[in-house]
Amino acid sequence: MKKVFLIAVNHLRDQRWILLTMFGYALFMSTMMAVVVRRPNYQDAGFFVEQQMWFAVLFSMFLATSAVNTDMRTRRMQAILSKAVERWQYLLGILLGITMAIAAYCCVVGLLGLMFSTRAGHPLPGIASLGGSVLVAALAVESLGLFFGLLLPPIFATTATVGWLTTVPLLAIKFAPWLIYLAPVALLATQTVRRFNSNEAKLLTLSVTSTLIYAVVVFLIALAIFRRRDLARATE
Amino acid sequence: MSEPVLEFQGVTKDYHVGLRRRRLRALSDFSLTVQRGEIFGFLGPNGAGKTTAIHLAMGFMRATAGTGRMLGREFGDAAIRKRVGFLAENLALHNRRVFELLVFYAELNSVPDPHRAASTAIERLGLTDLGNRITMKLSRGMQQRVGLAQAIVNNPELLVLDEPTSALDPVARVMVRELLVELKRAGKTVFVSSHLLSEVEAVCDRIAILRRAELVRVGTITELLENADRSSVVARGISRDHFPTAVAQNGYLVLDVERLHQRQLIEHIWSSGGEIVSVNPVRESLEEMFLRLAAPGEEKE
Repeated sequence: MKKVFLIAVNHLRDQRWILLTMFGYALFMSTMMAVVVRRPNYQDAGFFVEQQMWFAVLFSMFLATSAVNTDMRTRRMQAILSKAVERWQYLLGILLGITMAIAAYCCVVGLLGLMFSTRAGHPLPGIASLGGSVLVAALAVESLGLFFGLLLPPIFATTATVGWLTTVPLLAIKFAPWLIYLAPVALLATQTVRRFNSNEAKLLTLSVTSTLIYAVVVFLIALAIFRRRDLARATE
Repeated sequence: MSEPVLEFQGVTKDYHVGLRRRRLRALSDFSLTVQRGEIFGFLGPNGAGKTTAIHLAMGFMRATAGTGRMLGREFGDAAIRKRVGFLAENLALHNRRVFELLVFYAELNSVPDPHRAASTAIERLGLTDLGNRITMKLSRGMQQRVGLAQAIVNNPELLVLDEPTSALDPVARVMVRELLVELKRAGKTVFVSSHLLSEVEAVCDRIAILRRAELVRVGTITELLENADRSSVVARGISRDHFPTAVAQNGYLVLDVERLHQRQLIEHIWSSGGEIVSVNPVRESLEEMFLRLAAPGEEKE
């Protein structure tokens, strides 16, 4: 696992400008909130935390869809895979790197939310479980993003990921409810928002578990593709 | 004979390019064996398939047909790469401080003391003053040296180098050449692809030449450069009028003749009152042979 961790940290360092933008955005929004709403109430603090946290899912998608493609295009992947590194270690390293960044982002946003809600009276309950749910959702989106990123250039991979995450729930509503398990992030998001707004601190066991399983399955499919894939391109 | 260090057996590789997935054959029924302890030169014009062969060996891609082994294991075996050093063509390094980067690569190869290994590689490549510099801020030549340092950071048994001297100045080239010879002395095997024929001729024990996805020549430099069908006869004491094709060189006349007619020519020289100084197989330069083989229409051997 040491190599996976090394690759994860290395990936984070490669993406440092994107990550700085991400954290800069959270800090900018919190500063705006502090300036505009001088004395935030619970509702303001709750809205801030919820909105900023869910942005993490979006960030995770952008990071995941371009990760493999960029490394392949710049040939940095060759520098890593010419060492005693298995392909699964490389892909898991990328996934772990993005997840670590998202976890850090959720922590920062969570702490800011706590700060605002404490100023409003007392800390908001459920920030930790919201963070947990968002992290699991981000993990599933990362896996899906990596999967599409292996098949398509980044812009199409992002489109495909967004398309999948929005179309499948609509199809589930319209035709067959079980289809939601092909994109359980939507289910998790809906239930998390509902719970968070009703101040229920409990984690949503079923939707969290199904999303986690989904993330693992999609990652394994992505890995199977990655293991068989040529990592260098033809030159004419 | 010991087990080959690198072995391609009937390897074919097809790419599918463009929207119509047009087939492009990069390697065709390619077989080659590299023995332990030799410096093996891999030559060919651009697009001949050299980099494809190297990428197959490193496990970056799969062969369409055929198999290959590296240090006794199938291509693509990650564990075996611990004993292999690789330098890619158009190297792309991660943007780090040189020392940090080498430690990172050493750790990926599970080197027991990555810091010491990085220091040793830095010293060997003459990068001592650059250990704290960021790779992206280095010149192309210096980056290439860092690339070579990362290839030897794990003290590999087999070194696979794709155009290692392409961006280097003449001084650095000599240093790389000396490094290769030093590695050979230490019992390492080097598989090197290069366009710099003079260097290949200077350091390689054997070479292979690829053209349009096919292997056209393989052998020792002497075997390949000496033409068994032609002889070079050096004579003196004869008039050039009797031998119009002769070339005057240092007071002698040099005649290039087909081996079949060698005896006839020698007798002719003697009968003309001349004296034979030497008779040797004709030796081309590597560049001459390369240009001849790279040109279209040359038959495959």
